[in-house]
Amino acid sequence: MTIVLESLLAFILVYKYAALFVITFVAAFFLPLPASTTLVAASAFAFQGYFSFPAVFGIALLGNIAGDNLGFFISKKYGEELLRLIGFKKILTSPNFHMLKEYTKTNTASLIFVSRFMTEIGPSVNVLSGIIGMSYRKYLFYEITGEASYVLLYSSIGYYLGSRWENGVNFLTTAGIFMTSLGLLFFLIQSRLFKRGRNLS
Amino acid sequence: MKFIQKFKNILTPRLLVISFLIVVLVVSGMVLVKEYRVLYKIGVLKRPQHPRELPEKITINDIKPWMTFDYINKQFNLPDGYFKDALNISDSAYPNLPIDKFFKRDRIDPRTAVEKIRRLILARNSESPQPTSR
Repeated sequence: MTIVLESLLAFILVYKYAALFVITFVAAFFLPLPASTTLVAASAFAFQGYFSFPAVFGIALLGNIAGDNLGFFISKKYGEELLRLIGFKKILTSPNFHMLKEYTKTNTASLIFVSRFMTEIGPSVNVLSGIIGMSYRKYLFYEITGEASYVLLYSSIGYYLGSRWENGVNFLTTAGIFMTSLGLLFFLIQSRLFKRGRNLS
Repeated sequence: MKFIQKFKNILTPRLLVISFLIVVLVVSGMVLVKEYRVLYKIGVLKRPQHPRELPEKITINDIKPWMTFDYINKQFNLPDGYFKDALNISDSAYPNLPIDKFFKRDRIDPRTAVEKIRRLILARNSESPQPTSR
């Protein structure tokens, strides 16, 4: 177990639901924290009767949604300006970025939903959704659906593993890497096909 | 020379990223299968027929330095002030205090700290046997 995860677990046991909210919020907003494993652990604590399972589910969902929304709103309001300011002007005007924006517009549902399961990618998708000026209603629908599925999946795993959750940490970490690379590969191939389709039309 | 040039033309950044992702995917897939087998072998994925048979609490071998005294107290059905008295803890944060944080002050190694906690639980259980799992 990493030092970061151990610190997060201690943080959760000391500050309980407030800590769970902070971790999920920060991970959804910008920092790649091991939020999935922390959620599994919190659900295992719920299985042991130390936490309440509905509270763990609700707070993790709330933290994720709040973090995602903050990222979306900041990028919607200051996104391009901010990126220009910190030296990404060249990227913003590049044809690839333009293509990425077009791709995001046409693949909103899959991009937002699937990226909820890839905690390292999620914040970037929120920023991209804000930059392209996606309608908030549309964003919120796919974001909530995705986050609810993600939180339900990981909290169920934690509840299922119960007191033996620590045995599953390596499996979950590897599953996270597998899912992230699979998702990225899917998006890369899909965007390639999208580009080819656009060129043909 | 021609071959190198041709190779350079094919080797776009996108292709490099895709190749890298495929390698990561294959390797992590293999590790995933291996981890799954390990979990199955040690019985984590096997579900007892009756839900009541599940170990709801941890055992003394599961104690880790990041766990708080409050969590340990609840897991082993210990009185709230047990460790406070046994270890003379004056920290106002007790029992919401991680084990390693308390022992760090005395520069005690986390492993030694956990061992000390285990011994105290065993001593308490031998004095008045407490169920460690519901």
